[in-house]
Amino acid sequence: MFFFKKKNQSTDVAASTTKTEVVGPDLRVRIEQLKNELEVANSDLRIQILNELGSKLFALQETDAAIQYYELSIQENRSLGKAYTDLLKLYNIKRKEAALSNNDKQVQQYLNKIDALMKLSKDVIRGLD
Amino acid sequence: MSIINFIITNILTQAAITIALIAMLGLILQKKSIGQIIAGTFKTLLGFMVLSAGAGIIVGSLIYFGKIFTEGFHMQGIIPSIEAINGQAMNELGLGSPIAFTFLAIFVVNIIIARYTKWKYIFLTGQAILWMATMCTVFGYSAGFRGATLIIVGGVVGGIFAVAMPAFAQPLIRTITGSDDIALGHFCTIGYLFEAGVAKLVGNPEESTEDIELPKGFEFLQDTYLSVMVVMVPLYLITAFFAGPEFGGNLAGHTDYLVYAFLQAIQFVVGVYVLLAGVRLILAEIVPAFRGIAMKLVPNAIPALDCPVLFPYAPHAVIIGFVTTTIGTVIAMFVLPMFGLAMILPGMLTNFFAGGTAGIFGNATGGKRGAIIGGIAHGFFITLLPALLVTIFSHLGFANATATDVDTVAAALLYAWIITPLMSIF
Repeated sequence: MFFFKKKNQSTDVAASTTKTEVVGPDLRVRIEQLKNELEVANSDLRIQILNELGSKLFALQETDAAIQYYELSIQENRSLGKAYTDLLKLYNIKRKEAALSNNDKQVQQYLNKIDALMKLSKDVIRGLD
Repeated sequence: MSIINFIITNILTQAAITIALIAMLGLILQKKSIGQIIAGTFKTLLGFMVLSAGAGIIVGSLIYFGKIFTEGFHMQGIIPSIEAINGQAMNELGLGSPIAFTFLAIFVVNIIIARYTKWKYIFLTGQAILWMATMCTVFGYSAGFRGATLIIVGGVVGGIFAVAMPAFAQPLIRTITGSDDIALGHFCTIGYLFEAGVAKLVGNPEESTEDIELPKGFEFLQDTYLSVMVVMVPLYLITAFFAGPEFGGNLAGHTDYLVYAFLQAIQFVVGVYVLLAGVRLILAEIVPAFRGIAMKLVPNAIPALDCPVLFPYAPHAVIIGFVTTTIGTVIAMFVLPMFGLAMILPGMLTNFFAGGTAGIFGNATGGKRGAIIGGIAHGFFITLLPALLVTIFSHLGFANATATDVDTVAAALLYAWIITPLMSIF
């Protein structure tokens, strides 16, 4: 059972890598476009672009850059959408990387960021802006 | 030998010092500077003193409430508050030190299980572990365990719960979040699974709560203490009214009996405020140390996080869960006394956090219909379980309070119904 699970996982990884390779160049072009659009966009459109940038960079596994855009999005618009749920995943990835490289400071840093996300969700549900 | 005796009788039995030493150990293991170690250790010591002061305030208010409730309604009225149970156990019952050591033991057992088995869950909600340590210690003590055995048994029971509860919830967490990245670390999981089961029977997951229009938030819930006050003030006032001016007046001295009841309700909230401030001071030093260690020892851990982490996945279900759970707790408040159980009053904080999260589970398995019916059933369930503990709590000397988080109640019932009878056989 365990063996099968492992096999499935590796297939998934292979599939996603292939997918990234195929769509990678298109994604990069789109990211550059979005970055240009971001410079002039404001209000809802700006949040939409920030979230799309976060999402596309996450797909390309550029974790730090994805975090940067999603954090901006959450900062400017405290809401519980995809920016929140993706940030949770990204922080967890960074936390795991930090643990594997024995970087205590970074482990705490990302655990604290996860705590802050939980506080945000509590506040938003309670109607605190 | 006399030095060891001195350490055992004067240091390790002093809860404030024990807790401060545990924090110091964590800070040393994190290789903090001398200044940070001293500051953190003393902050933890201070935290325990603040917690004790809060417990004293709560107990004073609860004793008053118990008297007017018995006079007014001729039955026992119980306030569900795990904070009150923790405060009384640590302070009045003198179980502070074993609770602190059990807290540490739960962390250790959790890490061992996650490190060496396939269940990689690390329970990161410090406050919940403190409540679990409290219940394991109180009921272990009641079962006859003392000293190291009390702590080891508590550590094993609590540690197993810390892994088992996230593991049981994980299939549904996967449905809710769409991944295995995080787990749920909140000791109300049995209630969530109960709601999910009921919702599955009565509802349809295709008709989600997220497709309906709901108000954005509840203003009175914006402040934790305000939400406790909203319930406590009318509760105390109505009870005092039924107890009557003569009885209430005797307790109130020169103050009007209703004004006194109002002030006692506020005192309860003040007690919770102070106690939780103490808990925060304690956990602020201990939790980062041990979760850092846990994450290093089990780098591929699945972090089991507090319940608000799920709120973004179904915010409407949270509101529905809160409202329906509250309805269920009110129904249970009137129904349970008909079966000879104590009257358990609704606890707004539990209804919000546990009810809201249960709503997400109900929505995942039964959509809006499941979340509504499952929520009412959940409210009833989380009132029934603590009601079963009231007799034992009273016997142990607790004043008019019972525990809230149902997993900690389940652990207590495991002690009361299984471990204690087994102990009496041997």
